[in-house]
Amino acid sequence: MLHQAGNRFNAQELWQQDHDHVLHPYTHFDSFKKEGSLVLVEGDGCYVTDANGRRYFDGIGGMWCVNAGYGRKEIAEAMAEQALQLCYTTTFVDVTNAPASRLAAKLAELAPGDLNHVAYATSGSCAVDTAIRLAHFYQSRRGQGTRRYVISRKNSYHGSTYLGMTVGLRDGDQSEHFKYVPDLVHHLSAPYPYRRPDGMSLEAFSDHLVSEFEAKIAELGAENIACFIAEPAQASGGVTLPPPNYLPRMRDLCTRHGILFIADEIVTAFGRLGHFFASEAEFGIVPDMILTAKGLTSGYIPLSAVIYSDKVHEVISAADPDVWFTHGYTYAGHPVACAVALKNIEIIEREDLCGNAARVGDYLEERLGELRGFDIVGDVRGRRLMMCVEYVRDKKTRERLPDSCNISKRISNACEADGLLVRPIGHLDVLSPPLTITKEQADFVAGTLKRAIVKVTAELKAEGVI
Amino acid sequence: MADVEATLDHAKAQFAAKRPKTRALHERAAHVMPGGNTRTVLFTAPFPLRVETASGSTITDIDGHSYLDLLGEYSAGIYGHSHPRILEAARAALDKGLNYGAHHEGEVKLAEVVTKRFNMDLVRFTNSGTEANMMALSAARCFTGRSKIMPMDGGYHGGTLYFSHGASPVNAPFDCVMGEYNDVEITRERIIENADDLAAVILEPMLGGGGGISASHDFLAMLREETQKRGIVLIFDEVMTSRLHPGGLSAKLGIEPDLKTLGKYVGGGMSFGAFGGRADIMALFDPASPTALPHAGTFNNNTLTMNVGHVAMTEIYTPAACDELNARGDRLREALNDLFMRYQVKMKAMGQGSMIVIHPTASTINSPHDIEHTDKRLRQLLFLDLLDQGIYMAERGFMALSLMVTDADCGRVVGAVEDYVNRRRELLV
Repeated sequence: MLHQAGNRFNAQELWQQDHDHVLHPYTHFDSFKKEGSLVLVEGDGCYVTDANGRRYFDGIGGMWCVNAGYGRKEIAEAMAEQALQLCYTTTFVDVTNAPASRLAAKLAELAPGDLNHVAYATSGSCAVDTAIRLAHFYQSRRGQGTRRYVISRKNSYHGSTYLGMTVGLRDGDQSEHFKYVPDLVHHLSAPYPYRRPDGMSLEAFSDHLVSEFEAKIAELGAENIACFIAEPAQASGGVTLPPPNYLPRMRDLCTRHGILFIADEIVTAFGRLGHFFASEAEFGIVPDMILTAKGLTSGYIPLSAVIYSDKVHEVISAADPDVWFTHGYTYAGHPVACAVALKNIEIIEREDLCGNAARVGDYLEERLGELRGFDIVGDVRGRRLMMCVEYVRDKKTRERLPDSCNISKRISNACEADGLLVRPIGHLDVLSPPLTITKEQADFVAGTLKRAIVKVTAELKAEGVI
Repeated sequence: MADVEATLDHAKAQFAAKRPKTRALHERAAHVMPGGNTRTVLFTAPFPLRVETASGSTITDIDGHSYLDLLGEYSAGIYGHSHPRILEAARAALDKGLNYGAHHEGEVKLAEVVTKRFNMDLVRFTNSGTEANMMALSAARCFTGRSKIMPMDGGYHGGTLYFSHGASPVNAPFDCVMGEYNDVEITRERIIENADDLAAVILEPMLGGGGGISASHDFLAMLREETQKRGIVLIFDEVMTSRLHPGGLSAKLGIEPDLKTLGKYVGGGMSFGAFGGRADIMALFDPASPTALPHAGTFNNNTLTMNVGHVAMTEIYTPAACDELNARGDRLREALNDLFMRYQVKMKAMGQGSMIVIHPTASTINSPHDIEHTDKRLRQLLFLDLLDQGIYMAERGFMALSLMVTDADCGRVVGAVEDYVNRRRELLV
C-alpha cells in the first residue's frame, strides 16, 4: 500500500474523473475501461510522481519532449512573468510580441544553413500542416502550381491531424474507421536497416531506397511533386537510423528535381542526439525546412516552429500586391510559449545539455547494447538519447513474437513496477529520457530494462511462447 | 513538514501497542539482567523483540508477529533457522555424545576444510570471533616481541576490541596506535612512526558492523607492503567478510594477510571462532615445543560445532552456494540504491554481496567518520517501519541474507523499503 504524495491528491478520484470523461490520444478502449490511467501529479529532474506518491524515472521524457527535465523554476518564472506582462498578442498580419521576435532570431542563429525564417504553430502536427501548405505556396509562387504531391515514407509519423495522418504511415495508425486525404501523399519504403531484405548490405539498401525515390519521381513527374518530408531518424515508427549516405542522396535528388526537403526534427532537435539540430550535425544535410516542437519548450507549454530557408522566403515574399500568405493560427507565436522557449534554450546552452546528451547518450547506447545478448532482443538501436529495443521470437529470422503476447507492454509493465517508465510501441520499447540524465541514471535505465527482459523471458518460456 | 522526533515517537508507540507480551517479558527480564539485556547490540527502543520460534527465514515474536529475518544473526545465520541438513548433522553429533574432553576426528576434518578454503597453513579454533581476534593479536605480540597493535578508528573486532568513537572502556588493555580506515597516507605515516613497537595491524577488509564500508585496494596494498617491510603481522578479521567469497574477501581481493580470523557462520550456526595463517606464527602454539604459547578453551573443539561446521562448509555453504547468495545480495543492494536514487532520498545501501547496510545519507562513505553524524533516529524509524511490514533487520541498518532468503523475498524487501521512502520522503530528502 503506497501513500499519497503529501496527501494533496485524491488518487482514486482523479483516476475516476479521467476514466469517466477523457478521451485519450491513442485510446485502446478495451484495456482503458479496465485499467484507466496512470495519474501523474509531480515531476522533478528526470522523475515523475504519481498520485499515490510512487516515483518513476521518466525514460520517455514525457513524450520525447521534456528535454531540460521537470521542475525548472526559472522556466515557470519566465512563464509567469510573461503572462503578467503580456499574456497574448495575435501575430497575424503585422503585429508581434517581444518573445516571438527574439525567439525567431535565436532559431535562425541555431538552425543550419540559410534557414533564417520562422513560421510559428502550436504543435508538431500543426507544424507539419504549415510546412505542407508552405511547400504548396512556394511551388505555386514560383510558377509551378502543378506540384502538389507529397512524398513521405512508410513507418513515418508526422502528427495526428487529418493531413498529418495522411502524410505519416505507421502500421498501427491505419484504421478502417478513419478517412485520409486521397491522392496527395505517396509513401516510399521505410529506411529500416534491421528489416532490410536478407543478404542486402547497408550500402545496397541505401541504393535501393534512393532508386525507389528516383523511380517515384519518374512515375509522378517532378513537375507534380511539391516536397519530400522525412524524420532524419524515424522516431515512433521504429527509432531507425538511416543507412549510410541515404539522406544526403535524397537531399540531392530533391535539389535536382525542385522538390523541397522538409526535415521533421520534432523529436531529434533540441539536443536529443547531442545537437540543437540533427540534420546537418548528425546526418550531413541542410534541408529547406526544419520542423521543431517538443524539445523547443521542453514540454512546458505547447509551441512549434517551421524554420525555413532564405531561398524559400525570397520566392514566397517576392513583390506582388495581391498575394497574401493566408495561413496561421490564433496562438502562433504566443508570447508565453515563446518566452518559455527562450528560457529553455538558455538553459540548454548554459548547462551544455547537448554535450551531456552526447556523453551520457553514448554511454546509454553502450549499456543498452548489452541487451543484445538476450534471446528475445532482436535489435538495440537509435542514437544517444533516442533509443529502442526491438523484440523478436527468433533472432536469426527476425520473426516477431505473436501480437497476443503484447511483448513491449509486458516489459514496460515490469519496468514500471521497478520504477522506470519506457514507451511500448508495437514490438519496441522506446527510450527518450530528459537530457539531464546522469551516468548513474543511465545505469539504472539499462539495469532495470535488463531485469524486466530477464523476467518476461522466463515467463514466456514457462508459457511455451518461446 | 513532518518532524523526525514526533514521527519516531509515533512509530515507537505503535510498536509497543502491538506487543503487550513482549513488553511484559522485557520488564520481567529487567529484574534479572541489566536493562533486560544480555547482548547489547540486540537492544532496541522502546524495547526489543523477543522471539518465540524461528523457521527457515522467518522469526515469530511472542506476540505472534512473524518477520522475514534479514538480520541473519549478524552474518552468522547464513543457513537460516531450520536447515534440514544442519538439524540432521546436529542430531548426529549429539548421538555420538557431547564434548569429550579429548581430541577427535571432527576437529581435524573441520580444520582441513577451513585451512584449505581460507588459505591458512595452520588454524586454531576458539568459541567466538572476539576470542579469535584476541588470540591472533596476542600471537602477533609474542611472535614479534613488540607491544603495540594498530586497529582502525571505527573498527570492531569483538566486545573487548571495539574502537568506534574511541576505544571502548571495556576493551582489553592493548597499547593501541590507531589507523585511519582508507586513509593511505596518515596510516602509512603512523605505521612508520611506530614501526619498532608495532606487533600487528588488524582490520576487516570490509567493515561489517562498522557500516559495510569496503577497504580500498590501495589501502590494503599499502598495509600489506608496509607491514611486510617492517616485520609487522597483518591480520584480516574475516569473521564476517569470509562469507563474501568462497575463499574469503582476502582471496577475492588478492591480498593475503599473515593471519586471518573467522567466526560466525563457519561452525554451522554453533558458537565458533578460529584464527590461523602463517605456519611460523601459528607454530608458537605447538604444545610439543618447550616454549609453546598456551591457548585454552573448554569448548574450542566442542563436538557440535566441529561436526556441524564440517557439514555446513562442505555440503551447504559450498563455493557455488556462496557465489549465488552474494549475487542475490548484489542484486538487492542495486535495487535498493536504484530506489533511493529514484526517490532522491538521502539513503544509501553499502556493503558487498550478501551483506547490506542502509545508511541515512547520500554522501560518499569511505570511512567510519563519514557516517558518524548520520541521524540515528532515521535508522530507528526505518527499523520500526520495516518491522511493521514484517521485515526484521538490525536497527543500525545491517542485513545479512541467509540461504533461505529468496528472490521473491528480496522483491518484498524492495517493496517495503519503497513504501518507507514514499511515506517518509519528507524526512529523507
